Amino acid sequence: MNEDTEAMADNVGQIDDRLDLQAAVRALPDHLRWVLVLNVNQGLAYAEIATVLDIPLGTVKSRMFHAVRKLREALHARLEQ
Amino acid sequence: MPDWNSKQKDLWGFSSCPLSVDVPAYIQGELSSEARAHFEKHLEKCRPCQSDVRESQAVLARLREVPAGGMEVDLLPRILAEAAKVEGPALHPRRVLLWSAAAAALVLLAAGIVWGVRGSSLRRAGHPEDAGLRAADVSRGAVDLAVDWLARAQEPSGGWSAARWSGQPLYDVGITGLAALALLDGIPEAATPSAGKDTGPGPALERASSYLVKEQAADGRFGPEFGGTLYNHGIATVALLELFGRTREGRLRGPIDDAILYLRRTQSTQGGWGYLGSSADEPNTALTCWPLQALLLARALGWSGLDEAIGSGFKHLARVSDQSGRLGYRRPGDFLYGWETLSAMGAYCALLNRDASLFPPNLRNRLLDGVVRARAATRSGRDLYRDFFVSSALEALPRERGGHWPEEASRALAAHQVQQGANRGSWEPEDPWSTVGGRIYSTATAMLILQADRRGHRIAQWVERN
Repeated sequence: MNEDTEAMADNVGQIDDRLDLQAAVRALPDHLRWVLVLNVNQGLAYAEIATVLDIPLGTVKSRMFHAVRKLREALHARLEQ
Repeated sequence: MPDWNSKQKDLWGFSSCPLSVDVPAYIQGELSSEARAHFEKHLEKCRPCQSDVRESQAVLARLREVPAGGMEVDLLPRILAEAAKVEGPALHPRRVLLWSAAAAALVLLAAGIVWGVRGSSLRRAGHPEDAGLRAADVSRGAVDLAVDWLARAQEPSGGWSAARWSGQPLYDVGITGLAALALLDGIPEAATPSAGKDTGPGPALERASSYLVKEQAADGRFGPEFGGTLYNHGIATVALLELFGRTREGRLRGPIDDAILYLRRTQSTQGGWGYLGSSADEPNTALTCWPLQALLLARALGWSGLDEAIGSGFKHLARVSDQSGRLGYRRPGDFLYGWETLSAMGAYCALLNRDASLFPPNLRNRLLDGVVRARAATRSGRDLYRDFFVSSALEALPRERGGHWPEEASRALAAHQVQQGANRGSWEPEDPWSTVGGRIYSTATAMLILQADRRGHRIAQWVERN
């Protein structure tokens, strides 16, 4: 494989990863997805998310944890296929 | 505290340690300092949590690289609408207000994204200069408006007050330095501030530099003596150096000489600079990059005898760097506030240095790759301090290596400028560092981001000449 092909394969791999990740985010239960998207994509701090969604700060923290863990599970499951 | 070993891992080696719920909050700097200290102590011993931190960091970083248009643009209004539906008619009035404010902000954000996308498709359609000019015009217009606001906010002393604009009073000198830097590219080429007479930022700059010189203590230190002294001092020294570079005013030489001596006296024996400003304090990367930047600028502008101090400063960066060139706060992997800001600061310092003997070339290359990756994080647009360093580093980085601050980011920033009322021209103090620097900080930093290309070009000339 020459360098170009390798680079292309690498890019395709990355795109695959992104699609997987996007799909995994979409598959999250609403209450986890809302917190994750507000934080990661909209840049809201935990305290701001707590205010906007009117949930306790500790709940934001644990939902972030569960969201990240579910995404990790999804990525691991894909690697094992 | 029990030591959790491999028995506590589940199917894919995830930690089942009860403290692992803190991992994302830890990575994102969302733990209180007490909880953070507690967690760090635990982390030293808990292997499952250590690997959780590494993997979660990777997932969070990749999430930010997922392109806009998928999740960002369309999901947010829906989140708010769906969340409202779930709660039904029992909505608390305060929340309705918050939601409508948030929804309004999101519409603006979505508009900004669409606008940015349209700009780039225009360019692909074959109007490169057209679109480029318009992006530059947007930045220029925003900066002009901000210059007016900054000039109005200047105190009779010539400085700017952090406290008057919801910042902390101890940082007047630092934000005055930032404001002076932000005004610097508004004065015409090859003009001294006084040559500008009554128009433009010239007079404001002259009063600002007089204020800074007046605030210098007998030992060379700018501003009050306290834990954050070196922020004030480092920023003020950089501001006076850049002003000297533009104007070559002889009156600035003495104060700069004294300021450099102060930096050398306060350098830690381990190479960097620490909070107490004493040579015995443990250095940290966030503080170190201002003094280091000042010394590098001074050398580019003709000051000599600084190589040893600069080399030791770089030694600190080498010590806190991990394998992929990300810089930690006190140690490798110590990402108190994420790695992007610190790594961009380090990359920027590396780019101000042309002497390979002062800095390991491998680390330099890793840092330069790192800042290109850090660009992905700036899409969230909530941290002006980070974006200031990322934009500075990207503008100093050659284009073939991925340099150049994206126009879309500048457009989005300009779209957030206050357009009406007494604060027209400023930026709202709403990012994580605004509680320290207030509206002067948020406005000056936004201006510096929008002018990163001009400032980068000016500084590159000094660095290359030396």
